[in-house]
Formats: sequence, C-alpha cells, structure tokens
Amino acid sequence: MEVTAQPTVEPSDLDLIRRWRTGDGTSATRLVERHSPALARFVAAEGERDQAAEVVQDTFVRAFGAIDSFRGDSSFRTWLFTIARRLLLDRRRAERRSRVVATVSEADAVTQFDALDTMVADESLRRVRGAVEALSTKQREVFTLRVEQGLSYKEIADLVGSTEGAARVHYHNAMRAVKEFLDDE
Amino acid sequence: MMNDCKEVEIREALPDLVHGALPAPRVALVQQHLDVCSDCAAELAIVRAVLASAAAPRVDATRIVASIPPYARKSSRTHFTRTTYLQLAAAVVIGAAGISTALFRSEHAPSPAAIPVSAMASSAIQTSGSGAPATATNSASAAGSESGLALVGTADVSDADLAQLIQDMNNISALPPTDPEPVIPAALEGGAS
Repeated sequence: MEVTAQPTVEPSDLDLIRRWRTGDGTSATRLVERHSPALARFVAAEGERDQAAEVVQDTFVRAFGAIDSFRGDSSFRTWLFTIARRLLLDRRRAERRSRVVATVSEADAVTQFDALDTMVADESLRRVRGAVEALSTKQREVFTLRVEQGLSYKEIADLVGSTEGAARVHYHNAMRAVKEFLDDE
Repeated sequence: MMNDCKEVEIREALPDLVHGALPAPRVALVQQHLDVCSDCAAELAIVRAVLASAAAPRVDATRIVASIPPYARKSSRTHFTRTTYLQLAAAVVIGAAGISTALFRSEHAPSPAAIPVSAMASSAIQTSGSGAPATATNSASAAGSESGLALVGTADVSDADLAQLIQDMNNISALPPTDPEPVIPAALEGGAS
C-alpha cells in the first residue's frame, strides 16, 4: 500500500498570532522570519537602507505591542508595511533630512550568470536601479511595492492612502519613465 | 526604443508572474503572448531586473524576536468605563426621579403653613435638651414636612439638589423670597458689653 506523505501546511499568520498570544514564543520567531526580508526590502526601497535593520526591529516591536489592534482586514504583511511606513515618515519629520538614496552594492545583487555575464548583469542591474531611483517619490513607492513586493493595486492603494486607479496610473507612468531612462543611457 | 504593448492586462500581470501569483491557466496565456511580443518581453526583463537589484538588507531575526515584549492583554478599561457609565446613569436617573417627586409634591400639596424660612433655619440649629445639637437633617425634615415639601435629610442630597430645593422653596408663595433672618443665639442677646 502506498503511503503518501502529507505536505506540511504552513500555519497562517493569524494562526501564528493566536498561538503567540497563548505564550508560544516560536510563533513570533516564525512570523519575523517570514516577513522580515520583505520588510527590509521595503524599507530599503523607501530609501532607508542603512537604517533598515533598526526600522525593521522597531516595526516588529510596535506590531507585537499592538497586536490586539490587528483585525485581519488586510494581510499581516501589509499591516507591517503600514507601520514601517509611518515610522519612516515620523523619522523623517523628526530628523528633517533628505531621503537617503538607496544603492545596491554588487555584493547584494543576486545573479545566476557566469563571470562575463556577471559583469554585464551587474551593470544592467546598476542601470535599472538608477532608473528606479530617478523616479518621483510616489512613482518609486508604487512601482517598488508592485514589482519588488508583488502587492496588488488595492493593497498598494490602502498602504499609501490612495485609490486603485491612481496606483495603476503611477505604476504605468513609472514603467514608462524607467524605459525612457534605459533608452537614453 | 522600448514601446508599451497595448495589451494592458498582460503588462499588469507581469509582476504577478514573477512572484508566482498567477493561476496556471493565466500563466499559460501570458507566456503565449510573451513568445510573440518583444515589448512585453522587454518589460518582463525590467521587472525581473528591478526585483534582482532589490536584495533585502540583512536583518537579525533572533535579535528582533528577543526585543519583542511578551504578550499582555490590554486592560479592561473599556469594560470598567462602560460599567461606571451605567452606574452613573442609574444614579442620575434615581436622582432625577427624586427631584421630580419633590417638584410634583410641591405643586400638588395643599397650601403650606406659613413657616418662615427663618423659623426653619432656627429650628435647624436649635439644641436639644441633652445639649447635643439637633441635627439639621431632622429639623429640616420636620419643618419641611409641615410646609408640604418632602425634604429629605440633607446628608444624602447633592449640592445641586439642595440648590434646586432652595429654589423651589423660594418659589412657594407662602414664603418670602428673602434670605433668612440671622439667628442670634440667646447667650449673645443678653450682650455682655
């Protein structure tokens, strides 16, 4: 008789949150491990790469401290992004400094090519990153949330306080601007 | 020169394709289009490059977890406040009922005896035979009952209620709307010079 191994079902974010409330510390670890990379990428895309670790930590501390206010209307990740975004706005307001433009070092870029192709690929990535950095603030925010995080237009709209239609327009305008930037180079 | 393909739905699906968020039938449709559209193929390359260039900064998950405080259920301030409000509301209703009763009786009572306010005041501070001061409560109650006002003991009447009762007393035609005459204790009337 064939015994089929049952695929392991990952607990949902809500399940992990419920377990954490009952004292299961490992649930917090799983939630952090599940969402911290995306959150770090989001913070970096917002121009705070150097402060990403600190902002990510602060975001999780605040999120778990206010976990009872998470109603599940949005995804847990979107909720984390909202908290991080507000933290970044508060930090900028408090520090009154211009946005630090995010740069991607060659060591961070993920490539799957051989040596020559690596050089070409790194150069291409650098150019593309330059094109993204040249976008307006709103276009960059919407574009990176759509492309890097894979959020839907509705999730983006909720996060940035806009409409689905506006988010869609920002995305397409951003894509056109990136193409023009790359064509000009 | 990179152009925008007119198939907007295909272009909008490219990030979902890269993130593996498209259902299989849709993936096949998008892939079919990509095979024949160089503009969408170029746009897909841009999406992949942007994603590849956005590697996540390293974060220490262990350190983050260690900084998270243990779960603490929020205090039931809301419940306490709601209960307090209910209690206050009940007290207001009871108080209002008491004042309404006093007003009702004052309007429907027979003509009150002409008891000057001064008499009421003096009776309130007369001492009893034992030397202990008669309580204002009892005296006021006695005087009040004669005037037809259902005065209650002043100990359990709020300042607002007392003010209302005094106003009501002033409105009674049998009583002059004047301040009570000062009561001079008998010991001083003899007046040692």
